[in-house]
Amino acid sequence: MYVLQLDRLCPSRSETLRYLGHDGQDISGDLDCSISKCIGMIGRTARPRCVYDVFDVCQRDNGVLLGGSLLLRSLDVKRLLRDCKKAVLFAATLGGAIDNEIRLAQELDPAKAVILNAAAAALIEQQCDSIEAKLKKQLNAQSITRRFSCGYGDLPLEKQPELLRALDAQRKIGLSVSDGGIMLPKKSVTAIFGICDGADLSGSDADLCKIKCTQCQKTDCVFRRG
Amino acid sequence: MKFADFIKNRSVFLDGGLGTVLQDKKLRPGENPQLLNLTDPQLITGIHEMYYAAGSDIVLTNTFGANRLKLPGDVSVESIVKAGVDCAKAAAAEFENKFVALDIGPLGQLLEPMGTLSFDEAYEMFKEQITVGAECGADVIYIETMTDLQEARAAVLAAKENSCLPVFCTMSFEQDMRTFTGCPISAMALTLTGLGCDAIGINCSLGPVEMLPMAEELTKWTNLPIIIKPNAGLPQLIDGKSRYSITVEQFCEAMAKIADLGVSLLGGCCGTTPEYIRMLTSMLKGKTPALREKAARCAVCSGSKTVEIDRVRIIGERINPTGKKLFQQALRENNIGYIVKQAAEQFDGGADILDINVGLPQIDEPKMMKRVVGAVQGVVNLPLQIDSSDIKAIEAGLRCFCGKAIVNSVNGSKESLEAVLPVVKKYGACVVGLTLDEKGIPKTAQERFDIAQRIYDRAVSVGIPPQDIIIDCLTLTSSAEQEIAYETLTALKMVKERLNVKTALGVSNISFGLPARERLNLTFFTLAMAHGLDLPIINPNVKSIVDAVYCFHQLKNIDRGSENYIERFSQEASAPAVPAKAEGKSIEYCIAKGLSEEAVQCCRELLKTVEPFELIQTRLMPCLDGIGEKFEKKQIFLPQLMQSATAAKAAFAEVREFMSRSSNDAQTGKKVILATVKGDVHDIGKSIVKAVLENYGFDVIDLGYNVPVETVVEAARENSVRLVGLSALMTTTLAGMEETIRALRDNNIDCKIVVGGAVLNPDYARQMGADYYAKDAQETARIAREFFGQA
Repeated sequence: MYVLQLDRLCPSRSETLRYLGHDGQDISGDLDCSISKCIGMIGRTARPRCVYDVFDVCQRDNGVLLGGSLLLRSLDVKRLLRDCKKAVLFAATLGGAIDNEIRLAQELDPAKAVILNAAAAALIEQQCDSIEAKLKKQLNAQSITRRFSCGYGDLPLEKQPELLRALDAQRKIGLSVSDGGIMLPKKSVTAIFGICDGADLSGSDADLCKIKCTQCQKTDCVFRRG
Repeated sequence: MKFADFIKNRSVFLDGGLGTVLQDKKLRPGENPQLLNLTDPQLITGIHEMYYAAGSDIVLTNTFGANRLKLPGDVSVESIVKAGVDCAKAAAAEFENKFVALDIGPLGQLLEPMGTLSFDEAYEMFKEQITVGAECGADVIYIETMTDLQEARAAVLAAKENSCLPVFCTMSFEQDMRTFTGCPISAMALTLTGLGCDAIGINCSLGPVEMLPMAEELTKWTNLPIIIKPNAGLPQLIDGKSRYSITVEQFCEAMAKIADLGVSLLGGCCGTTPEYIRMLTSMLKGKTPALREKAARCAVCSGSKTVEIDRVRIIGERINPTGKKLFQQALRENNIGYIVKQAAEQFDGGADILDINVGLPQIDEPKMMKRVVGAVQGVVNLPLQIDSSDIKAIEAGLRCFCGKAIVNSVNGSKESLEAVLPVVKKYGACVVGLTLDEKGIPKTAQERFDIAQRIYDRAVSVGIPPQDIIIDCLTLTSSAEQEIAYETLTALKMVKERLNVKTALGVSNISFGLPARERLNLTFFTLAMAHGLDLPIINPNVKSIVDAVYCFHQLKNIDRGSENYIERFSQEASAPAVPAKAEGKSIEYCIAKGLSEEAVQCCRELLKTVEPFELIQTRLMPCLDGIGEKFEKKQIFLPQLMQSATAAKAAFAEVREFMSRSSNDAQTGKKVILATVKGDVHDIGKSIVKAVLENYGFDVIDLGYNVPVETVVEAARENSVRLVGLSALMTTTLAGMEETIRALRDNNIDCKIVVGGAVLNPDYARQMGADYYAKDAQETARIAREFFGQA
């Protein structure tokens, strides 16, 4: 497993607003200023880190086997990696300092806490996008599938500890998982994506199985798109 | 030769990477390498032999991850640890004067308060490894690659309390000189030195070049032998393969510089092989380690912050129930949220250290101390002062506090000295010595000094370093004992000059019973600083007091170039603070715009003519309803709702304050418990619900997050609470919610339960036995109002 150097990014304002449930409401000067400050603070406080590894993909009846020993029993993952000989598993975190800032803000200024939380949620997604792009380039991949995480489709959250173990994530980037399946630091992600060199992905199953909001079972989610 | 004798005054060589050698032998991803102790012991023994032959004096057993959490369920810790020690001992037997270190790595889960694993659980798991390892004949307990100081503490205490072996402990730091959890080198050194480790240091993560400044930093904070065990440089991806960046020669060259700092225990971590150790030992063998300058800094720390007492440092006094009705009530109700907020506000006000006192009749003080210390650490990263007259409560606080604390206090009486000092020594804390004894507080400065001297001598004799002793000459009440009140300052000066220790004083006692207390406090405080006060125990939310500290530091040339002074006061000079003006604004407007100060002013104005209940019913409630409706109609969004909630809360607090002045009980009797369930630490949703419920006048008892089932049951029973709100974020933590609901039912607690959280829905809620499901904070408020019969 390898540690990937990440760039310092600043959370996107529009994504932060989306996580806050913003839907065109007027934003006063004070609030606007507060949002900018929170975004800046998250950008400064984050210590983004990533560890990844590349595995050979073996198709199995009920899922895929990665690197000869990591079995993912998931038809969704199997479909995702149908055209892939190799897949990348990565884990990324923004570090624990952000969790501490949010918790302190919960006591002192709840409005600030929700904004910080939204900005951090936006930032970890941006980092994941950036990781995808970096790895695609570094691994000379022509095309890659969408990324897929525990808790999506039929890949249960219970698989999280095993994925983190396979990456030695606790030692490499300080990312651990509790008995209750919670990743700590909280603003962390594990994901898998396939490298599908040579295959034409347009319109293929790999494309179709992009997990979109429409496939998610939580139909009353305020962030639901589409 | 005995191990303890062997390591004295010489360079001692450890081994290099074990995993590195194993990985070359095709370990599969995620596979537990410790299993090889059983399946292929010859392989492991062979690697140890290679290191001994290369010159290692000590090798680490292959037991890094041999703990209950990391081993597969069907493999016992005992069997792996025993086999691991046996492998190393078999290798050592081939040589002379070679030693075996029982390797203890992290458990792989984060401890409370950042995570959910409790300190006691972690302790038990380490104890299990250590007991077997010591029985099997290891020479030293070697705790390594720790990134969470609290976990390192649990391991060190388990080692000290369950074996007689020396204890070594090293942690891993990143290039910003902190561990992943934010622990600086100074905090590691202060804490682990205090706990009585025999050697401490740094391993893994970086190469020897990057570790050089870290080793240097470490020498400034400890006098213990130092261990440096770096990787073979930084890992780099070359042709799709991970390689370490430096050669054997470069590694050894950098290690020689580290040895020149007086570092006496040297080895390698990931990427290093017997070849590295061979060259290292041939370069440095026989060299006596360089002498180090003695480190004697007075400092305290938390797991992520060190506070050096090299200037006036403010100890926040507000977490203390004495004379505070609301605080006492919060303690009785287990309302951790109330207490935690006090901690956050004092941090915000400028406190450097927080005093924690939870003593109240009919309260299990040790249990409460543990709970409060745990919760406060989850919100602020300040070092704590454990304040109690109950030695069991002191020990409970010290045990669970991650860092180096202050104990408040010991006094000159025989009984106190005998009870308190050994506990202070065991946990490596600082201690405040009060200049009183069996006969009470002496009148003269000389007599108080004599007691200070006695405390000092006794503390040093039990092994407490002089820099960890703090003397409090006791502030008297100037209205009652005017003729001797000034003696405190005289005594303070004597103590400072003759004993050269740090000093503390509870400042505000001086003005008790007099008008204009703040002015007398400030004057006394300023005088005290001039007489040598280092640690005022005061309210940091009184601005004039904190201002005085800035001024004092400027005048004493501690704040060089007036940097801090200018930063604090320059804005004030250019734009004098304009008091918020509510004139012409309605309370509805102020709340809608989130203007807390103005909302409070409006309230004050209104209360001159309107009854409090009428104000709530005719103005505040309709206003809140309007805001809630706007939120539901998406005319405002979450941050705006929260801003309004904060302003409304301030308004309500004003009304309640008014009511408490006119009656004894400002409580509404509508108590609601809120808790994020056991196993879950995501409580931002709960904090939103809390803010909204408090606005509607409910008395929220906030139990915090990762709340044990029995705490919820107890709090509901003891406070006769009829509505309990539980939150959990994830499918995997709903089990904790279900368990809590079941426990409430099994214990026949007469309450309704409302649940919420991202993955819940009405069906789930019903299946779990909850009475209500609330999709958001507004919904919870609606349910609560309906339940309590509010219109």
